[in-house]
Amino acid sequence: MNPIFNRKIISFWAGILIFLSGVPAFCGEIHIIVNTSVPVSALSENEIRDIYIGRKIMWPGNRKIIPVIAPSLDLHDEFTLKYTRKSGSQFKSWWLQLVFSGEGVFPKTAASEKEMVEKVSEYEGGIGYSSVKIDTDKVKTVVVYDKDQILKEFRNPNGTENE
Amino acid sequence: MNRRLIFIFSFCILFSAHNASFGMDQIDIHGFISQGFIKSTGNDVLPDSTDGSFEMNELGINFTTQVNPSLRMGAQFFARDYGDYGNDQVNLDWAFADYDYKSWLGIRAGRMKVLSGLYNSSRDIASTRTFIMLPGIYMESFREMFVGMKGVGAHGYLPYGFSYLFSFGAIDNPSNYKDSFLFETLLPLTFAGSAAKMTGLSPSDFTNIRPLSVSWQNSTNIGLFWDTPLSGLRFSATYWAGRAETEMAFEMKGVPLTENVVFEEISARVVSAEYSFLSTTVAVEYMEAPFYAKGQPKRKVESYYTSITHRLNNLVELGVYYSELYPHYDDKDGSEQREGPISHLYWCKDLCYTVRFDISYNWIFKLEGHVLDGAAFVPEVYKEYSKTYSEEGPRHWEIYLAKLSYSF
Repeated sequence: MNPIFNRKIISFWAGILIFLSGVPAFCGEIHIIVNTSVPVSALSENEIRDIYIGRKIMWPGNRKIIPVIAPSLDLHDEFTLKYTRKSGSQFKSWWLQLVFSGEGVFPKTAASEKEMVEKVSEYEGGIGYSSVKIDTDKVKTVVVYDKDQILKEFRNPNGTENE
Repeated sequence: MNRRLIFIFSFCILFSAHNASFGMDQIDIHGFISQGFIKSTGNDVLPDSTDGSFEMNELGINFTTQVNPSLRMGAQFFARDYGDYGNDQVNLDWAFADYDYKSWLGIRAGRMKVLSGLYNSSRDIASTRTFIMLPGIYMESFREMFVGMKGVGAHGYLPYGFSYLFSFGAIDNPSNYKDSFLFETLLPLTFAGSAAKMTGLSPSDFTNIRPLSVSWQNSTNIGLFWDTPLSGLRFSATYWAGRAETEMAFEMKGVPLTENVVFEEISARVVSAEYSFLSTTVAVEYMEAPFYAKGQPKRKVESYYTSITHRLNNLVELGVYYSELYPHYDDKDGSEQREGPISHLYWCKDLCYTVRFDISYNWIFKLEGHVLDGAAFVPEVYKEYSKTYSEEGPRHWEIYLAKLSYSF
């Protein structure tokens, strides 16, 4: 048999391909949580992207946005890919560019989802993410819309919520 | 002073976590350090790089604090060694106060990085990108002009994904200009070529050319950025312009003389597009850099490249770019031979391929190869050429690099 079709060799290369394929390990739902002081109850996907790439820096009322990340979790890669279109590594490189050129402050980091909730509740203006729906008075979970227009209608049916 | 700063840096490296706080949660401390190895064939990039060289390293540390929700202050110290330049002298890289009045208007004052293209402001930090050596539009030879400026600026985020930055001040590089490749080699070489043309003598009749002083004035930096509705696609246009005066000392056939050279315009215009999708990033950038000295014809440097990087998994990222660089926009093949340099110093075509390994969250290792045609703006090649005004080194050559970086 041609050695190139050897079963062991095929298994080896199949393993390499699976290893290189980079399939995200976390595939569940992502909940967006904010500090209870944050004056919004819904965000669009574009707003979350802008917050997490450093483009949106203020909440309504000029309160500073403080993003929190948990880079050691699989959830982080899934989050950055979904909302910023960047892998975890690209996301880090993006922020290092901002930090080392003086253009931004690196997001606060948490080592676990529990610590993420604690940090979001600790920082006024804090925002983070979780794999489970958080049922606590420390933080609040915001509704996420995929379209900005729907969000605008949600926020201002009667002009009740500030942009 | 330098020893103290290096000690502080070492202390921070030893005791830092991902982002250190040292109990002072208001102060963010981040830093980076990298050590490279370079080996080239045929032409030297750094002194004796054909034999292999470790004279390629950077280190930096910054401190940032959010004084209140609107006011941020920070500073970064930086040192590097790049062949004969830098020599690990610690300098202030940037230091400014930034006040955000609204999302659409912030103002800053101090020493800032110059924005030019997608990567100039972070050009010294290897861990922020895939490649070790940046493409031709980020010419290492002109780094001293583009590294920083002192002045005031305004910036902000506008509707529909637009953002802007405007800065005005003066180019301000704390390192010694006279020791840079630009002023030590490139300017004297250009001066000899121009003087020879004006006098009818040979460039080799002008010797011992050196700048006695360099004065920069009126630097302007403008950047406009657009994050399009198509997620991952962004465009940018940046413009930088400055004016400089130098006093050149030289000998013409052994007679010592001095001459003031006034650069009425030195500028760089860069347009960029970048698209990120499914762990792949494609970037295209084009730069033209016109400049002219009083009494001399206008010249323009042109460069462009396209790159593609792909993240295979958490460990491995691949990248490739193709770049072209022309010191004389209107004489790309060197056929006019206007100012002396041999023909293959009139272009540099560079095919680069890289593998980046993210060993851990903080450690990155890269391997890179370059296949080159031409040697435009390669410091050591120009240095050799300026000594003899005869052809040095081959037209086709390669560069191999490895770099280990740590950032926190």
